Amino acid sequence: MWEYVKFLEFPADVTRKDPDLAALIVTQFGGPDGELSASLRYLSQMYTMPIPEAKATLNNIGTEELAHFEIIGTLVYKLVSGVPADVIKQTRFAPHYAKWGRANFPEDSSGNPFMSAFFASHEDPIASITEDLAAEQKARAVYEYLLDMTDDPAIIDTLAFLRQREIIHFQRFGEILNLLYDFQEKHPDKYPGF
Amino acid sequence: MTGRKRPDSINLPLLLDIMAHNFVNVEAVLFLNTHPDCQEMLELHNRNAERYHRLVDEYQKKCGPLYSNYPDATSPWRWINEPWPWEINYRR
Repeated sequence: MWEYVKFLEFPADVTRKDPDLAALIVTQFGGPDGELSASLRYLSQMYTMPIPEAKATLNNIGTEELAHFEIIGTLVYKLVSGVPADVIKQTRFAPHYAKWGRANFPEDSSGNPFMSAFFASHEDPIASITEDLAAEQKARAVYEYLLDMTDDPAIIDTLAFLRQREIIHFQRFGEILNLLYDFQEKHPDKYPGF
Repeated sequence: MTGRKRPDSINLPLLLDIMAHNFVNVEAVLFLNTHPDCQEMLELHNRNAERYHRLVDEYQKKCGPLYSNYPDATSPWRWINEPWPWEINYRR
């Protein structure tokens, strides 16, 4: 089960309102390489993993990604909260406002809603963990694109933290992939598809 | 912001200290999952977890619950108190 703890994983802040930037950063809330996609990918894949290290790693990283979903939600919320509609009207956030007002909604930076087709969940653990390695690299790249879009030092701190986490997760998934290959060699009979 | 706010509703330096200790163990847990025999990380994990729980106890006594299943909750129910994590200005 999951339990909410009443703090963020990282003190996510903004120094000024910026609805234009909110409309871009939201892609990490509900876009293909966003935090919701990451979390649900790992929390879906964990059940059928053949080794305990893989179950634990997917569980813990999936949980951490939910905390990142909250961090991105905090940035988007802070960037638009209290901004008058006639200011929003002149920004890239206007199409979001027309549908949802200032509420957070999991969508990408073009307004496409979140969908689970963004990720896969295979019984073959090598297929799933290899997808996860790619997912972490794609998310790292998106954080770098977003870092190019702002000079707000508070947002840069937060996006740089999240980018760094993708690198750590990539490292851990790489270790899991090696453990899976070891397992595959020792237990070809237990290995789905072999 | 509206609703219940008290002068002692948050203690930002203590909260930031708790967040930092939480993060250390997020990282330690991930490392231990793929290095279950690493004694050095295990000791860091346990030492940090103990400090984390001490800080959380101190915070919850002063400022109300960070966990809704806090056993020493007082009336009126303070779990609902603002600010929520996304409403805090961490840079003040």
